[in-house]
Amino acid sequence: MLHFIFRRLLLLIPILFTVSVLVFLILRLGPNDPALSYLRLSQIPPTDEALATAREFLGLNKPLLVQYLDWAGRALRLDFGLSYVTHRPVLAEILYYLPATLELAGVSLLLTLLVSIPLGMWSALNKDCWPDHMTRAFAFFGVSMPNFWMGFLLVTVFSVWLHWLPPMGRGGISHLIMPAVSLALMSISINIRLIRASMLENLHTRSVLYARARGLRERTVIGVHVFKNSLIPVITAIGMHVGELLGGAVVVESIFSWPGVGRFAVSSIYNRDYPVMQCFLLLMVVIFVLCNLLVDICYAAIDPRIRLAGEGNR
Amino acid sequence: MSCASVLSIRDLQISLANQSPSNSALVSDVSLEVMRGKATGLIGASGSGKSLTCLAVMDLLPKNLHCSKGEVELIRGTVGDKTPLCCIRGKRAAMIMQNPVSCFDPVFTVGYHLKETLRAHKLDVAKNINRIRSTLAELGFQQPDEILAAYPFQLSGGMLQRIMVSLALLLEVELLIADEPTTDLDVIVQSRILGLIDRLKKEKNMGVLLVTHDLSVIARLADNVLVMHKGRVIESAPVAKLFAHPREEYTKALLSAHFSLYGQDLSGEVHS
Repeated sequence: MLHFIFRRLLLLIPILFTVSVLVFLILRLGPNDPALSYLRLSQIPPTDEALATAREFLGLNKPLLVQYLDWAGRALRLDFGLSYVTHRPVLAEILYYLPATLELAGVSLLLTLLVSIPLGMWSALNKDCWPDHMTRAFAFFGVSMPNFWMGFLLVTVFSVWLHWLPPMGRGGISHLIMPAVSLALMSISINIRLIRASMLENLHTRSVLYARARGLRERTVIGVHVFKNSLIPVITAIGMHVGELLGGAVVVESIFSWPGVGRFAVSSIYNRDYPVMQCFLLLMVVIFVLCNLLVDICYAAIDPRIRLAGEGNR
Repeated sequence: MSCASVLSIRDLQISLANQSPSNSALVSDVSLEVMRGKATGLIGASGSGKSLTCLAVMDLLPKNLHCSKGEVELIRGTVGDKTPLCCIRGKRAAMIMQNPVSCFDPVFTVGYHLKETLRAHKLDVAKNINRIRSTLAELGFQQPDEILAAYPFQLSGGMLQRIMVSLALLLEVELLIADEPTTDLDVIVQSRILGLIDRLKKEKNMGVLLVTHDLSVIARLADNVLVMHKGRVIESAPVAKLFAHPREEYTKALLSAHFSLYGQDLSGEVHS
């Protein structure tokens, strides 16, 4: 097991290398001149002279490869440079906003699991009856509804009309409800369908038939055997949902003025604050990859066929 | 008491649940009897309704099928009335099924399967752990603890088949339903499993309902044979009589096909 984790951590190195090259190049491919952004954000008139000084100062006059190596070398020491806007270290800024995003994404993930697993099971166990129809309609609605639109609808209904929930900002649980719901809706809907399909498949296996023939109660057959087997694809999907939630957080945070990294990243994109964008993208990739590593570990923990692979059969 | 009936089926008809039985019957007019300490064989081609009959006995028919007529009487209790089924399934009647690897849940150990079944029948696992070990040893497992800790996919089909048999022994069932117990197994393992069923029948006085399409299995184990064809029982006779004097055309065809494949006279194989 430790060997497995270690191997996966080693894999992180080529992934991070590739991503860092992509992040660096893609941002530079844009039509904007970072030196120009820098001057604008520092409120210095962009004269030719100022531009030349800024290029010199930011190292933009060197070849692209050298620029990349400079940046990557400092990034290895966790130095991502200074923000063009605040002139403070980028990493410190991002880490300041990160807890709010992790809170939102974490609650959304929890919400996804708590809602989708029971609904998916309910739907599968009542296939082609009204609970199934209702759940499927809900899932269809949820998948089709973009999270920003859902966010606006929620604000209109629960803040503007009913005055039940605060429309923006971070605070207690009441602030968390609408952002988390609009963020989780997509994952919930996808997960419901996934669990339903996987339950239906597992309900008709021979091992379930034999479990019933052994005289197990229906509760045990479904709650233990069908459930545990149906969970395996769901765990895989959770890794994907983490990516979806982090990506979705960028949009949802902007709508609900949630003070997280997503909103910070969006404003840095508007500002063309290059160091912030680079650091944000890299950080998201690290979180995503680590979450998927965690998923793989859970996967091995729940499925002995994976855990024991390589040990050979008796 | 050796002649007491453990299973009797009368005029069983199985049909699609949402259609009238007259035009959707998959199995009809099946009547059979299994006696304590005897084996009743059920032969016929694939799709002739053998397995459905077995499932009906355990009340395990798929949702879209039901018993539209007849009755199944399992050890003085009728299947389908409100006797809790978990008291019959596993406890009084055990099943061994074909393709045993697919019958176990791959994410649980073999030991878990055994223990949860005992628990479902209100048997204390801690008190019975030595009985589990000795039963496994009796079935030829030299290291019972290793088997208990193994996952189903680590064992062979024959081993898992014996695990199924071990459940029948542990729960002291009166009826063993063996639905094609030797398909997918190699010949040596086949012969071991059949020997084992034969032993249970004689030593533990179990009734055996043996479903197969293999005539040599019937010849070796069964006392009485029923031939099923297209959902009906077309012939029923003691095994020696059936092999010596088949009455129906289909039975004759079945026998001659077997002889042409294996080129031997099965009536010599029939146990006395």
